[in-house]
Formats: sequence, structure tokens, C-alpha cells
Amino acid sequence: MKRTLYQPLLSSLEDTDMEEREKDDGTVRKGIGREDGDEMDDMVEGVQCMTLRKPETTKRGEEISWGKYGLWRQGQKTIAARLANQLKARWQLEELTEEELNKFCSHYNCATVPAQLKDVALFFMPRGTPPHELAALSWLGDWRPSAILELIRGLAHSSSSFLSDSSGIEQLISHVIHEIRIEETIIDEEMAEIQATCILHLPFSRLKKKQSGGSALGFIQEEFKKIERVITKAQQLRFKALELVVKKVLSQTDAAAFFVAFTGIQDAIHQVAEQQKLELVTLPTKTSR
Amino acid sequence: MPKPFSSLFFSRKKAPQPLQPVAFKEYYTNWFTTLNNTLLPLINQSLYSSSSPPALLCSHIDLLLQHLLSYYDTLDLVATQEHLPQLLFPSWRNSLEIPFLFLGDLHPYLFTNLLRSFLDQEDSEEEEDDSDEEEEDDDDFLDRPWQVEMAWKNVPKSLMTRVEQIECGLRLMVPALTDRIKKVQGCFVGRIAGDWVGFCCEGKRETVKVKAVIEEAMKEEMEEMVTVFVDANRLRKSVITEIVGVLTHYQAALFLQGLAQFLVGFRDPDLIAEFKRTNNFSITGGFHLAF
Repeated sequence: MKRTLYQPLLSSLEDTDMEEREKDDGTVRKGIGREDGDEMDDMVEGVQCMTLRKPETTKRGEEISWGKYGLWRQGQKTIAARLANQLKARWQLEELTEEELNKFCSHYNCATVPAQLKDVALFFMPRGTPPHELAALSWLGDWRPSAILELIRGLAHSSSSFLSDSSGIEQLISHVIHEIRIEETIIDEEMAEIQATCILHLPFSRLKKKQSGGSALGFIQEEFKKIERVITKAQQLRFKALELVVKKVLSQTDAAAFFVAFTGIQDAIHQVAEQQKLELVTLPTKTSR
Repeated sequence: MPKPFSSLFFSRKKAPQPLQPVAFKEYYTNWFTTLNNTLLPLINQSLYSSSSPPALLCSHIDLLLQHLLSYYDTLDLVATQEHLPQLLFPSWRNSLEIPFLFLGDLHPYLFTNLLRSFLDQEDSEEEEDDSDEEEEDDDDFLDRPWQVEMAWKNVPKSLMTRVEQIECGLRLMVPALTDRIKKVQGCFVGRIAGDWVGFCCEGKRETVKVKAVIEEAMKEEMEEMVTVFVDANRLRKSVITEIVGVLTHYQAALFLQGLAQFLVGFRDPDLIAEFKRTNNFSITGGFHLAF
């Protein structure tokens, strides 16, 4: 909301800045060849030139007073314009990180949770994901929430220049990893319960075979429903981990740096996994061992 | 007497090796066919045919047990870092099996749950018998030989104690396996993150170098994962052996028969065909099944 309120102010500041720059270009800067970074000096000279061109009739006291005021105004406007640019960049950053987080939200919360029976196996072994990527990272069909956090810890630990408050972040992240791992364990246990008791509930189990009521697909559907609930929880936990670090642990700039690294690393791992040769799994022969 | 749990867990028995290279997928198909067409009918016959001598039952129990264990021995043989991704996510398993796989195979708790289903069923049947002895709805009852019928009656306390010990061991070992995967995957990601920053900060993020680092980290991760996979299979193997070891012949035969029927059921062609036909049905409702 604050961004919307500030925007008119921002655009007026930008306009002023543009006008001033045009004026500078037309008077002092032309032919001087100064560096852009030295704006304050330009400003002083510009003001001095303008003062010299004032009509002779003006009294000396008025000249000094006007000159000082003009100088102050110019300086103020320049700084304000530069600040406005920085604010604009910051708001854009905030907007982009929020947009990225929202994309993860929709990806984890509804877009990928299997809705049909055929989707469940595909969720665990998606066609587009190479086996090496699955083996390296997969936990219930996607990145492990604690591994996402390990990525941030790795980024913070490896270089103080990548994240602004590396040591503080490392401590906080370690705490969050501990908490998220507890929740991962709970979900692991729920999944283990389904995988361990399917021998009692699937239609071809000895207990179900003895039951007269119920259809085979009905029993399968019941088990898949349980798995779908676990997947939903896992997806929610992934988003919770992301949201927690982006909103509570990382600064805006660090969150942006993390998203950039996360996307880049995901892509790089995927590419490397795709390039891995899938050797046909064969039994070793007697002569070769 | 069976070997102690711990010694089974750490032993690595070699499976018979073929002369010519055999694809694991082909091996698995053959293994399954033997289970379905030969060993399951044999154990059924031994259990339900009154003319079948007890010695034959022992031999069939051993055949079935060795067949089940040989599968894990073979997995041990092919478990290399190059093969591991395919073993963890096996393309030779169907879409009904995949969601129920834990580290590429059945969950170790499944075996003790099967055993419990026999023990608990007997308890509940006893309670039902006490309350209403006149009713007997079990169709199998009349067909079942006396030894099969009595197999789970009056189970000694010592058996219950052993079952609890096996379950207790599993409750310690399974979370340790999942913790190891968690740790290995976390380390892999952490390591890549560290190297990634290095390349970014130096302003020379060369794709080839980044990929080489990831490839190396992936290789090392797979090596670690192989040890977890192999241990998971040893655990499954040792639990099956341990369970069979504490049971009487008839109990063991029924347990192995239940396990084999379950494995065969996952690949029942009629069920799979029906499952594929209903692939588009919603999980959470929206389709009604005719009973």
C-alpha cells in the first residue's frame, strides 16, 4: 500500500530531476567534459554562471541571498531525485520478491498437488525430472524444505558479501532448519504409516480379500487420498519454509539474492542431472567380479 | 534357529551371478514370474493340501524365503552410484506401486504390520468367538487344514516379546535411515550453495565450472546414498528373516504367503487395467464405484 501512496511524489521528483538535468546540459556541462559523478560541483558552477548573467540593477545583498537559496534548493533537489531513484529501485525489488514468493505459493499450494489417481505416481516420479535430480533432491516429489534452508545457510556461510548479515542469518537459519526438520519428520512418519499399513488396506491384502464389501478401486482410492493429504502437507511446509525466511529472516535485498541463487542452482542441477548418462542397470557377470 | 538381528543386518551375502549381463528389469520380471507362477502356488498347495507332507512345507517355506531374500541380495549387487537413481526411482514399477515405495522398495514396517495382522486378527476372532460362538462367517474355515486353522491360536508370550523386539529395532533404524537421507541431501545443497557464491563473487560464473562442481557433488552424494539404500535393503532382509525365524512352520508359511500375495497383487493385470482405466478419476471424490 505504501508504494501506491508514494508513487505520485516519486514521479514529480523524477520530472524535476529531468528538468534540472536539461538545464545543466544547456549551460555549464556543454563542452566541459566532467564526470557524471561530480554533480554537486556542476551544480555550484551552474549557479555561479547564472548569477553572473543577472541584471546589473539587482542589489548586492539580494544577489548573495538568492544565490545561497538557489544553491541550497539545487542541492536539495538533486539529492531528493537520487533518493527517489533508490526508493523506486527498492520498491521494484520488494514487488519482484513478493511476486516470486506468490508464484511459489501457487506452485506449492494448488498447482502441483495431484488431483487424479494417475497424478500420484507422476508426482513422485515426474516425467520431466531426470532420476539423478530426483535422487539428489527429492522428498515427496520436490525439494526438501530443510534443503531449501540449507541453501540459504550455505550462501550465508560461504561469503559475507553475498548476504548482508551473514552471521546473524546463519544463526537464525539454523534455528529455522531445526524447526522445519521436526515438521518434516512428522510428515515422514505420516507417509511411513501409509506405506507400512497399505498391506492391510490395499484390495489385494489378505484382510481385504476376506471382506465382502467394497471394490478394489475404492480401497486404492482411499489409500491415494491419504497420500494426497501428506503431499499437500509437504507442499505447505515447503512454502512455509520459504515464506518464513523471505519475510522474517532475510532482508529484502538478501531475499532477492536468495531467489536469484535458488533459481540458478535449480536450473544448474537439472541440467547436470539431464546430462548424466543413464547406464542400463545390469547384474554383474561372474567374470567381471 | 535364526541368526541374531544384528549379524544379519551387517552381513552381505552375495546373490548368484549370471554368466552374461542381464538387465535388472529383466531379472525383476523373471523374479516376479517365479514368485507368481511357481513359489506362491507351491506354498498354497503345501498349506491347503491335506496330502502334502510337512517336510515339503518346510522346503517350500525355504524356497520362498530364499527367493524373497535373493531379490535384496541382487539389489545389493547392482547398487552403485551410477545405478542408484534408477534403483530409487524404478521405472519397472507400475503407477500403483510407486507411491508406496520407501527407498525403492517396501517399507520395512510393512513386514511387522503383516505379522501383527495375523496376531491381532486371532485376538479379535477369539473375542468374537467368546461373544457369539454360534456364528462362523469365515468361508475359509471349512477348507483350512487343522494346522493352518490353529497356527495363530494361543501364541506364546515369548513370540510376542520377540515381535516387540523386532518392532523396537525397526523404530530405531528406520528414522536413522530417513535422517541420513535428510543429511546427505542437505549437505549436497549446502555444498553447491557455497561454490555458487564463490563463482558469483569472483565475477566469473563459468557454466562449465559450475556444472563440474555440481557433478562432483552429485557423485559424492550418490555414493553416500548407496550406503543408505544398501542398509535399507539389509534391514528389510533381516526383518523378514528374523520374523520367519521366530515363527512355527505353519505361521512362517502363512506369513510368507501373505507377503507373496501382496507383491503379486500389486501387479495383478486385471487390477492394473482397471486402475489405468480410472486414471482420470479424482482422488478426493467425484467418482462413484459400483459395488
